[in-house]
Amino acid sequence: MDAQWAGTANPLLSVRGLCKRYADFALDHVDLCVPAGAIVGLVGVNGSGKTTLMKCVLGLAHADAGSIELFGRRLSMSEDAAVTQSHERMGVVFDTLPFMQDATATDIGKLLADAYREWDGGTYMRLLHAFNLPQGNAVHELSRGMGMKLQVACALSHHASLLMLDEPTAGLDPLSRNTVLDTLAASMTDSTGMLITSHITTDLERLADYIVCIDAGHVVFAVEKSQICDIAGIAHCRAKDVETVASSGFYKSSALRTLAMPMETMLLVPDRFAFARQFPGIPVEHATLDAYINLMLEGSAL
Amino acid sequence: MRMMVRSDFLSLRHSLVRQALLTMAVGAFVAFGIGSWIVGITVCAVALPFSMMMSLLAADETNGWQSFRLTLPLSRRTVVVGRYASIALLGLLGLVCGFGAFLITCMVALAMDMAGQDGAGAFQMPAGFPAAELFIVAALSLAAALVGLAIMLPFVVKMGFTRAIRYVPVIFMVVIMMGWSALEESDLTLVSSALEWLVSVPDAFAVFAGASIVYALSCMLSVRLYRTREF
Repeated sequence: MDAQWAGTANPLLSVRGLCKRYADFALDHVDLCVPAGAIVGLVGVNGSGKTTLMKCVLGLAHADAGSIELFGRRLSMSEDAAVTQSHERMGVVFDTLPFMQDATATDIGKLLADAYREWDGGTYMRLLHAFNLPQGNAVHELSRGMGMKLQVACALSHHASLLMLDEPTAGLDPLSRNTVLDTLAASMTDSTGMLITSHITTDLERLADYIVCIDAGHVVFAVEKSQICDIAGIAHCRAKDVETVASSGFYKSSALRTLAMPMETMLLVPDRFAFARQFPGIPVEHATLDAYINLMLEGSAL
Repeated sequence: MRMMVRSDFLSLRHSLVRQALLTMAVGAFVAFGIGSWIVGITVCAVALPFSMMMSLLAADETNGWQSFRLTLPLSRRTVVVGRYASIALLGLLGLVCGFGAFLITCMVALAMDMAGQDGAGAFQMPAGFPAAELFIVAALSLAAALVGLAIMLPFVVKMGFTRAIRYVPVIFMVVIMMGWSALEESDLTLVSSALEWLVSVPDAFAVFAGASIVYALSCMLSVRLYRTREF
């Protein structure tokens, strides 16, 4: 587990050494933590293991090794009561609308009122109104974006402590995306948490407190978002600049990531202010999440 | 449990009435074609739960509903038991349709002056209101449906509808052929005695009770199988 999370007391979700093997893919000793009061963004290319990880946490797939603790209690799929209690406190959004095709938003509200003890019909109606969702339209009549908003409304209407959101803003127009992101951010308290996967990195830059990147079943990095967006930097180097940095001895080996481009070499540096002081002749700018992920996954160690 | 049954019937909301009416019409048509009022009840009691079960299982696999359902505070046991309860209710609804088919065939036969008794007339009518016969036919028809469902459902629960549907017809064929072969090799007088044994209400009730136990055992097996299924 990443050092900065090691001291987190009573995390809502704690995944340790999770392994899940399929014929052509394996999740290999994955560690992840969602502390109370935090939003964790999970990123990675398609097929990297994000959905498998989510499935294991949701009890849809059984881990081969490792442990999953939800709300301080180790998840065991053989304990029906424990799983049910955990799910009572979780709000889930899938990347496609999973409800029955003929059901309306009103039907789904009644159904979920049967399922969740803490179902809040007032909040649900308020969110349907806020998201401009028609109550009487069947699911198959809703656009993809409307379907995602309906799922978000459901996930937020039973006072969940942990939200597990798989691409919750996929298919939303920019205005709707803003509304959904604002609503999700407003739902957070010191005792709630969120694990969110998204390929729209600007959403994660806006929402997340931590970023975890998975590639080929391994965790590539797990850091606070501020370390990426506020502190890290991308230096734009010529060939001789790269040699200067490499031979300076200022950085330990493998502390920097490089990616050769046609006109320059991009260098990912952990602290752009320290870099600028040390190498004032090399232009360095703040790192976007996109650029950071790109260099971590596609780049090589200097 | 209530949520599970409610969601199942919500899935069927638009197709259930249409399918029930269609099954009733088919039951009446078959009964009229064969010339026996009994057949319509059996057709409906077996056809409706099977056809609606197919719809339910297809809905499960549409857009990941069955996966999402497992993220709700429902245990896997509740999902399976609720599904068995829904299908049993559909069996009862099939019986209601069967009685509807019975009434339709009787009315049509009377209106067309085709009704007769003891071999007279194209359509064999019961003498008076056949309460005991209706109960026997209903109990045996529902028992047949429950046993068929009890065989099929564990495969579906373990493999999912799409995969199970490839194997279940083969399994049914094997069971039927084995049964047929056993009948041919057995002393047919025994079979004939067994059929005669089934003509009383308590005996039919006993068969129905036995089928219900098989259905319950199938449910228990499915609970165990579903516990290890992955999505």
